[in-house]
Parts: sequence; structure tokens; C-alpha cells
Amino acid sequence: MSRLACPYCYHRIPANRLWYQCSGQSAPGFKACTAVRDPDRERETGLNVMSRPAYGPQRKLIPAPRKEVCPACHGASGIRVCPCCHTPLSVNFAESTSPLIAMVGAKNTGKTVYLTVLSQELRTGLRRRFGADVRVSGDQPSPTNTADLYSNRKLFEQTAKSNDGRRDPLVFEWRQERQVLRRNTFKTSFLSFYDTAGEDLIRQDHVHDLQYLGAADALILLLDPFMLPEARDRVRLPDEAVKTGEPTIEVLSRITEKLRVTHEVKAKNKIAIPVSVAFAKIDAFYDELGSDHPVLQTPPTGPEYDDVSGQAVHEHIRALLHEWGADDIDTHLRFNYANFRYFAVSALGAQPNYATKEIDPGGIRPHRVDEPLVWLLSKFGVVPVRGQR
Amino acid sequence: MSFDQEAYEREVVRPLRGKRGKLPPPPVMYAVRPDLRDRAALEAHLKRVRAFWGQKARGNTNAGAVCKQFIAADEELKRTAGGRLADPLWWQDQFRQSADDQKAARTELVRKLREAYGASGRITRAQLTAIAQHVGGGEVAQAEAAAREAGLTVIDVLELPADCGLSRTQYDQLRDRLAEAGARTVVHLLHPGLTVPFAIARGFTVAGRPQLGLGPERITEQLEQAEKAADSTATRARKTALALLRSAYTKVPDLAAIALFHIVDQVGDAHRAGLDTKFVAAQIAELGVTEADAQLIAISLPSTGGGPERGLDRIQKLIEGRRLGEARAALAALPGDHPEHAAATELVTKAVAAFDDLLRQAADAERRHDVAGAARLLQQAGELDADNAQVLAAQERLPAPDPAQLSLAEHASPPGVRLSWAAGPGAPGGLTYRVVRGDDRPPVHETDGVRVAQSADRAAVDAGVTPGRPAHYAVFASANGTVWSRPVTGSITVLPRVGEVTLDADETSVSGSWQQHPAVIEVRVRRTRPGPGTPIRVTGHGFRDTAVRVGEPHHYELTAVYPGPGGREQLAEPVVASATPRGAARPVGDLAVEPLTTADGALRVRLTWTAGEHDEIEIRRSDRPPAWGAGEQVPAARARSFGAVLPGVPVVRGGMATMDCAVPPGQHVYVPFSYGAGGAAVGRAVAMGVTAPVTSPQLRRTGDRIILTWLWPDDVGLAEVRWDSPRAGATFTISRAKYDAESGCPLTAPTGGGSAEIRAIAVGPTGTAQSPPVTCSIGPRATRVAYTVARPQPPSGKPLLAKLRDRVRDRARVVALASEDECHDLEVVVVAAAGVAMPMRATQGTELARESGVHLRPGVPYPIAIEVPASFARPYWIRCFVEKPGGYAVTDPPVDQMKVS
Repeated sequence: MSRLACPYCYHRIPANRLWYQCSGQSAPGFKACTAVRDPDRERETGLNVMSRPAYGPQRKLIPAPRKEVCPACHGASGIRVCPCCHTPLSVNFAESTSPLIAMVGAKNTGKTVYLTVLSQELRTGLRRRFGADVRVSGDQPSPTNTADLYSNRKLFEQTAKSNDGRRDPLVFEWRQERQVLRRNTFKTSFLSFYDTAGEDLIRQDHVHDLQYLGAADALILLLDPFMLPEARDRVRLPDEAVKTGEPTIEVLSRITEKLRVTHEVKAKNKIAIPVSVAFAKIDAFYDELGSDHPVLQTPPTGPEYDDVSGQAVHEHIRALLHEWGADDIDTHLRFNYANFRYFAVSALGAQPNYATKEIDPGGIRPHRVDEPLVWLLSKFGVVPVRGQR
Repeated sequence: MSFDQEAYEREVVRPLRGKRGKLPPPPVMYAVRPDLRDRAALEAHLKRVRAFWGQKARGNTNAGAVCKQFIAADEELKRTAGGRLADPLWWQDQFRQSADDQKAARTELVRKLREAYGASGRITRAQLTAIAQHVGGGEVAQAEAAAREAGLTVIDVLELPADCGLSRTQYDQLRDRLAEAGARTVVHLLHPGLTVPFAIARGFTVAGRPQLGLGPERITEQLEQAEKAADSTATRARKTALALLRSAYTKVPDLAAIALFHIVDQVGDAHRAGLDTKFVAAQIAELGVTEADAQLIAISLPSTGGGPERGLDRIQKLIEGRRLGEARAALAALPGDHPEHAAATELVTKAVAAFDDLLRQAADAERRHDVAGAARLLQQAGELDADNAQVLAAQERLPAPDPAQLSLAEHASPPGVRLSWAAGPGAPGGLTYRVVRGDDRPPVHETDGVRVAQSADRAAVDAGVTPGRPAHYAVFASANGTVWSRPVTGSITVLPRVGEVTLDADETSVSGSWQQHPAVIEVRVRRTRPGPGTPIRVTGHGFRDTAVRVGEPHHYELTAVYPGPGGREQLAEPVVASATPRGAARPVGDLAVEPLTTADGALRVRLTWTAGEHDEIEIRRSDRPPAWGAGEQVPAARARSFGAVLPGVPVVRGGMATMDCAVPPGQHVYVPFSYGAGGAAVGRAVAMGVTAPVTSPQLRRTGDRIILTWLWPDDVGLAEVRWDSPRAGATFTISRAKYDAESGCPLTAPTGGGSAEIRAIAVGPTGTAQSPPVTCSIGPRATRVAYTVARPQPPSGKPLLAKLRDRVRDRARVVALASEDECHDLEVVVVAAAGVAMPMRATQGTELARESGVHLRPGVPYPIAIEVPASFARPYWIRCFVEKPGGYAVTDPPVDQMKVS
């Protein structure tokens, strides 16, 4: 049985045994169900919203039928919900590949900015590049961060700590056309991103509380090159740009520990889930690296992931880590992760004014922000790969 | 309806003194009666009432403070009710509203009275008066009616004796002896066997026993009986008490008063301790007094709390409350032997002396014409006794301070005299000024001459003055419109110049015309240039000068002549006008306008046109095209009313006139006007818009891609980009939305650099406006040298075993260099480095090959054979670097070629 992670509560759920939510349209002679407080949803997601009752399939058919009759009002409903948290899911969820992509990083790494720009890229550049239909999924509103960043041109305040590991995830539905046996069909994938507050990772017990890490199918690990002392010394940075001095290797170690526990990885084995290790704020190194450096090249923009280019960047970043005396990060990753790749990204494209929290007047010019995601999508077969051997 | 000011002040204003925020309903405040139904009469009445308020408000009195509140309320009412204030129907509504309010207030008062006094069923008249003043709107009669409605009996309180007629020592002896004798009251001393209650409040009586009294015979009778009684402490005390009474009777014939004083004295402590009236009355009744009198006495006891103070305290407060007159009255009412009498007398005397002194000084100041000083002193006196009639009268008759600094100047239009002056020192606001003109001398009082103006302004224009003759002016000030200050005076003789001078010139003559004052007897015209000053003959209100030179400026001086005193001529200041004789104007047909780039970001345009000899050209800018076509002749005045002239002096060079000037952003129409004989010729109009340029242009290269960014000006949504590059030049328009979506403006420049020119384009209702260009450039990219790493091809015919051995060893490689560009004299190094990380520099690996003088031709690979030493354990890297010269970028092959693992 296919078991997917619910993008809202992170529980593994049987894709073909999703529950239903009453539509509110009762059968003749019965009183229609009304929206009530759902304690299960509140417990699992922290959301205290009114919703109509959820109920499971009446018979033990696999897969469960597309519609089921509400036991209370006897009206048929095709609204699918998670059996654990009762959050409505897309009608395509059961037939999709839905990797849950967690995004982690230390405090002040720029995760929220990165995720905001990435979500914008998903709906603009990436959508066009892969000819996909991308939209925000579920009953959540569109991310408001996007408007704040792009219109007001202000950086965000630090993300609030999660309460019991709960915060609204950002879920995108990615629908793409493909040919199977010369027939055009559509494949739908759900991408669920969860933005962690950096300080949730500072203490070991908080890391353990982050339930979603355990449910993650893939990881985008955002690292701050300003936290690498030798890298930091090579660029001119204002004091406000360096807000925390916690070594990157310590953050990384805790995440590794958490993943080993939740994914039940033996000590002799490596963690199997793919991990995109993205070094953020690379714009600060434009002058240091020079415009012809491979990590600053514009990647090929065809409708596939270019593995040759990605491999080149991966090795150059690794070389830079060794150059900057941060080879312990590379060693840790090599010894603990079976499938990881380095990326160099810049969400803003130019250094913001860290004191006033204003982005560069020239605007937002993201650099390779989508590559970590595209690589992960290629790993899940959502997008094709070019040049892989 | 006449407005009785005294009654109004007495009935409306005075009761409100010291009660800030409490205003009567509009009919009372404006003293409007229901029979006032005529609009004109109503307006006149309101005017009188307001005048009264204004007059009173000027004084620093309690009544003035009330009137200031009325004025403020009136302004608010004028704002809200507006013109309805003069509408009799509106006032009828106010009467109805007022009646309703009164009815509601009375119902509320009845309820409160019942609640507060219902238990005793009585209320004193003093309490009722206080309630009427503080709660019930001031009407005692209405309060009494409300009390009756509440079922209360209104009683007049007793005037309890403040003194018993005995000295304090005598009274203390009497009180002590009565106690020792066992007599509860004086009554019981004189009537020891009395067991029924007696009345004492309004004289001594015992119900049913009219024969009983408190006369001297009773004292004698009791003394006799005491003499007969056995000696004891009580008997001795009794005798002493009776002896004291007999002694007192000579001074106080009414023993009932002493008895009452003693009773009040006995319950004084309980009353001062704050016991309720009922308890105090019970105590009095226990002394043998009838219940009715006990209640009356208890209720008449002086208030211990917030009631009016007596003696020194009260006088002190009256003086502090600027009520010296009442303080004097209170002192007069204070008994001479009152213990605080001396101190109160000193206090009042001192205040009266100060008050009189201030009045005396004010009178002296007034005699010295020191109006400000007198006003100040009277104000100080008013602070001692605010409602003193003497002070108020003195303030009323005090004139305003004399105006000062009268300035007289000739006024051009209308022709006359402009006067301005300053308020006198210490003058209050709201003064009225009257300007009076005298023909032969300055006016000495406010009605001595022709009244020119009267207002609160401190400036006026007199258009009625006769030119050429002295005019004498006097300005008076008044606070109330009846008492006027002394004047400030000045004199002037005005000689208005000719006005609206117009000169028209053509090739043969200059004609002039003007407007002149009716008193002018002659206008003299003289040409001052060219020539030494030639008189020109005048005909009517104009002249024509035919002795002119084409193209040369001609200046004319026009002087108005007036008749002066004694038949002497008076000459006005001459007016100078100029004109240049010209032929017919030729329109400008080749005006060109282009936006300019400026360092400061200001918008400027450059205008060029063909310059003609003797041409007077004016370029005017407007937001809309002219109504005339090119080449059309229009009157010069109409041409000059079109748009705005562009400031600047054209520079003529090579027959072309050039002028740079600043313009606001937007779409404009530039029209050249040529002025000549017959008016102005309209030239070819040019429409062009300018908008603010983009700022902070920046080009950044990332590989083959170049991103152009800039800051958009507000309200600009389009930009035109011209990209000049050796291989990829283009001009295109980009929208702001596309710019945002693509995070800038992407450009392509495979190898070379280039320069970008950006013009902001604003689209408006009349067309598009373009900004001056902003440019930036980027240098060429480094020449790229690519290489591949491959195993060498085995020679054909080599034995298969040898091929397999080579394959297993796998140490030989061929590094093939290539470039799209011609490269000369390169020094190339190939290195190998062991480890997981690739070498970043040649020095990080072991040099396997070094080639100097390498020449690369496009499309022709340059192979370098290498052999990796056997000591290198996997994984290891093979990488190539160009050591010399600089400016080359090496492009690595795919990782699987470089990395051997």
C-alpha cells in the first residue's frame, strides 16, 4: 500500500484509504451537517477552525471509492481529507507522488526569504520552464510573504518559533503533462515545504520536537557561508549581517542525529533521503569568485535537470569548502548521507541593507534558487534528468 | 423688543458667575422671548445681545468670564445652526425644547428631593436655595414647588444665637454650675419641677401651661427657694447659677436666648462630630425640648462641612475670590467682639488700601495719557474686586492706546493713498480703527474730517484723495466704538503715474497709449534713446514717433502733470517704456527640442532654431497645443497669454540659436513666437514629453548572461533599452512587469562587452514622455579556453593484450585545449591532485605538464599528453590551468573527465 506523508500533519497515511469530509449537502429527509470544531485537526495541526465532520470509508475496498456517504446526514461527499488531521487534500492527492520536502537551516540563514523567492519562482520561472501547472494547494491562502518581499522590499522579521513543531506548511500542487504509451496523461505531485525557525534547531530537544523532519522525503539544508570564518573574512560584511556564531557543523550534526532517529538509520548506514545542501547569500562572493566561476554561471534552462552542470557546481562548492577550511562539513555529509548535492544560491541577488532590512534598490534578482528543488524533483522522477551517467 | 441689559446681567449673567460650563438654554442665553417672531427684529436683538457680551467680555470680571463662555457657545451655535439662528421658527423649537427640558429636570429634582429628604419630610429654605443654585437651575420658586411635590415641608431655619450675652467666662461658669445643680437646661433651673416638654425655638412656652415663663421674677422666686434649701454642693451651684442669670438679665433680657444657646452648646459636639440630624434632634428632645422644636433646632445648626465659612475664613476666601466688596460687607456683619474681628479687619483694610491705591494710580496714568498703564492698573484693581462698579466704569471710559507708526504711500490701483499703522503699545485685540482725512490740517478727533475707513484692519486705501494736493490723515482706535484714542497723524501728496502704457512698433514708427488720472492736466512724452531726450508730441492719450531706427531699442519717458497749490505744476514720477521698431514678425519653422542628460537628475531640454536678425523670439510651453496654426499672426498680448515662457537667454552660434532650460516632467507643447510689427507670428509647435530618468543603472555578468538593472522612477511603466554590443546589439522596450518577472533586463553578449542606454517612458493622456538617456557599460568577458581530458586512442594494430594492460593501468590521458577565439602565447599547466576536492589552483596539485607559447586557433584542438604517476591513489583529479597571460578563463570539462575515482 502506498503511504504518503500528509503535508499538514506529517503522518504517513495510506494514499488509497483517505477519509472524506461531509459536503454539507444532506440526503432528503436528513438534517445537514454543520461545521463544528474538530479536536483532531486542532491536535494535529494546531489549527482551531470550524469544519464539517470527517469520516472514513464504510467498506474495506481498496482503493476507497471516490465518493462516500456521510453516516450522519447520508449525503455523498468526494472531499478527501487526511485520516489523521482531517485537513482537506486535493482530489489528486491519492493518485500523486507527493514528496514532503523539509527545509532546515540555522538561525538567520535566510530560510524564509529563500522559501518566499522559491515559491515565486515555482509560480513563474519554473512553471514556464517545465510547462507545469503550479498552484498553491488546499484551503490555505496564498503566501503573504511574497507580496511583502516583492512589493514592500523589506526583509522579514525573524520567524517565530514553532509551537510543538507546528506551523502552516506551504503546499504546491505541481501538475505536468507527460506521454505514456503515446497517450498524453497528467501527473500530479504535491510539494510541501515547511519553514523552520532557526532557533528550533539550536537545542537538541527542540530538534527532536520537529515532527516533520521525521516525515521528510527530502531535505533542503540551507547553510550560511557567513558562518564559515574563512569565507567570512574574504568578503566585506556589516556587523548586522552576522547575527549568530553557532558553528555550521553543530547545526548539521543535530539534524543528522534527528534524521537518524526518525528514519531509523543504523550507525553503519548512511541516511538515504536526498539532501540539497544549499549555500545561501552567494551574491556576497560575486567579486571574490569572479563572473566566470562555475557557481555563478547561469545554468541551462531546458525542461530537465542538467546533471553535468549540477555535478560541476557540487564539486566546486566542495573545493571551496576545503579552501575555506570547512572540510569537516563535507566529511560529515559524505559519511552520513548517501545522496546529497551542493548548491550555491542567492535569493535576493544582491546584499540587502541588514541594518534597515531593505533589499537592494535594484530589486530581487534570484540566482539558481530553484536548482536544489529541481534536483530533488529529478530524484523523485517529477522532472527528467539530462547528462546523468 | 428692547433688550434690558441690567435685568439681563442681574438675572442671567450674575447667577452664572463662577459656574464654568453651565450655560442656560438658548432662549435664556440670548434673552429671546416667545413673542419675538419678526426675523428682522430677532436679528437686531441678537446683535444687541452679542454686542453686550463683547463689551462685558473685555473686562476682567466674573461677568466677563460668563460672557466669554456665551461668546464661545454662540460661535459653536452659529457653526451648527448657521442662518437658522435668525429664524423665529427655530426659536419656537428651542422654546419647546427648553420647556421639555425644564419639565424633565423638575421631575428629576422631585425624585432627588424625595430620596434625600423624604425620611424627615422637612427641608430648610437655605438648603432649598442651595439646591436651586447648584442643581435646579437657579429658580428657588421652582425648587420650592418641586419640594412641595415631593411632599416636603419647607421650613425657615432658626437664626441660632451666636452669643448668649454673657462673657465666655461667665457662660462657662453658668454651664458648670447648671451641671452641678443637676439642671439639664436653664429652663429646668428656673422650673425644677417641669416634667413636660417645652418649646424654646421661638420663645419659651409649655403646652397647656401658658403661665410658665422665664422672666426675672422666676429668678427671684427660685433664688428665694434656694436660700431656704439645705446647704449642699448642688444648692450652692444652683444659687450661683441663678445669680449669674440675674446678672445676665440686665444685659440679655430674653433668658430664652440664653437657654437656647445652652441647649445648642450641649449638642454642639455631637453635631460637629457629624451625627445625623435625627440623632441630634433626639439629644435635644432628651433635654426636655418638644420634638418639633428639637428637629427645628437640629436642622438649623450651622453646617459643619461644605457650607459657607464665617468670620476670618469667609472674608479671606472672598478676598481671594476677587470679591472685596462682599468681604467688606462680611466684616461689617461680624460682631465687634468676635475673636477674629481684629484679624479680619486688618485683612480687609489692607486689601482696600491696595485697591484704592491702584485706582488712584490708574487715574494718574489716565491723566498722563498712559492708557496702557491705566488699563493695567485697573485690571489689577479688578483682580481685587472683580465686580466693582468704579473699576468697571473706569475701564469703560478708558480710551484705547493710541495707534502708532502711520505709514502713507501712493497706491497704484486704484490710484490713491495706502495707509498702514501699528497698534499702540499694550493695545488689546479686537480694537476698531477709524481713518479720517482732513484737507487742510490733520484731524484732531474722530469726526473731524472725511471718514475714509473704519474696521479692525490696520491698513486702508483712500481712493478719494485729490492728486497734487496735500492730504492729512488721522487714525483713531476704540475698544467699544464710543471712546476713541488720540490720533496718529501724517500727510502726503500723491501724484499718480500714467498706467497701462502700451507701445506698438513697426518699421516706420512707434505708437504709444496709456491710461491717466482724471486730474492730470498734461502728459509729457520724451524719447530718451536714441537721441539726447527728444520731446514727442502727444495727441489725446497717445503719441506717434515716426523718427525711428529699425532694429534699435527706443525708450520713452511719460510724465503726468497735475495742478498744485498756488497754480504750480506737480510732476509725477515718469514711466519708462521701450519698443524696438521692426518689420512684420517671421515665424520660426525649425524649432527642435531634445531632452538633456544632467548630472543632478533635473529635467532639462535643449531648444534650437534658426536665428534671424532683429528677431524677438519667445518659446512658450503649454500642456496643450495652441489654437493657432503655424505662420498665423496673433496679437502680442494673446501670444503672451499662451502657456508659460521658457526662461533663458539663447546663445546664437553659426546662425542657430540654442537655449537650455529646466522643465517639469510630462508631455509638453513648445511653441516659438516671433514678435514684430503687427503682433506675434506663431511658429511650428513641437510636442515632446520628458520624464524622470531611471537611476542606478548596473550591468552584471554571470557567464554568458548579462543582467541590466536600474531603479524605476515613480509612475513610469516602460523603458526603452538600446544595447550596443559587438555581436548582439538590439533596441527594445521592456515593461516594468516583465522587468520584475525576470528580475531585471537580461542581455546577451557572448564574448564582448557593451553599453546600455535606458530611457524611461511615461504614458500619459496626451502621449508618451521620454526621459533623457542613462547609460552604463560593461567590459568584455575573459577569453575562454576549454579543455577535455580523455584516454589516448590506442594505436591501431596494437595487440589486444597490450590494449587491456593500458586500460587497467589507466594512467595516460590526453588534455585537449580548444577556444572559440584566437589565443596566443599561452603558458598552460596540467596538474593532478589526490583527494575528494578538486584543486583550485595549479599549486594545489602536482604538475604533470607545462606548455609555453601555446597558440590556439578556433576549432583546432591543442593536445597535451600526460601520464599520471602511479603514486596517485584514487580518487584524484586532473585539471588544467592557463598560467599566462592574464585575462583567460578556463572552462572545465564534465567532472567525470577530471575526477578519477
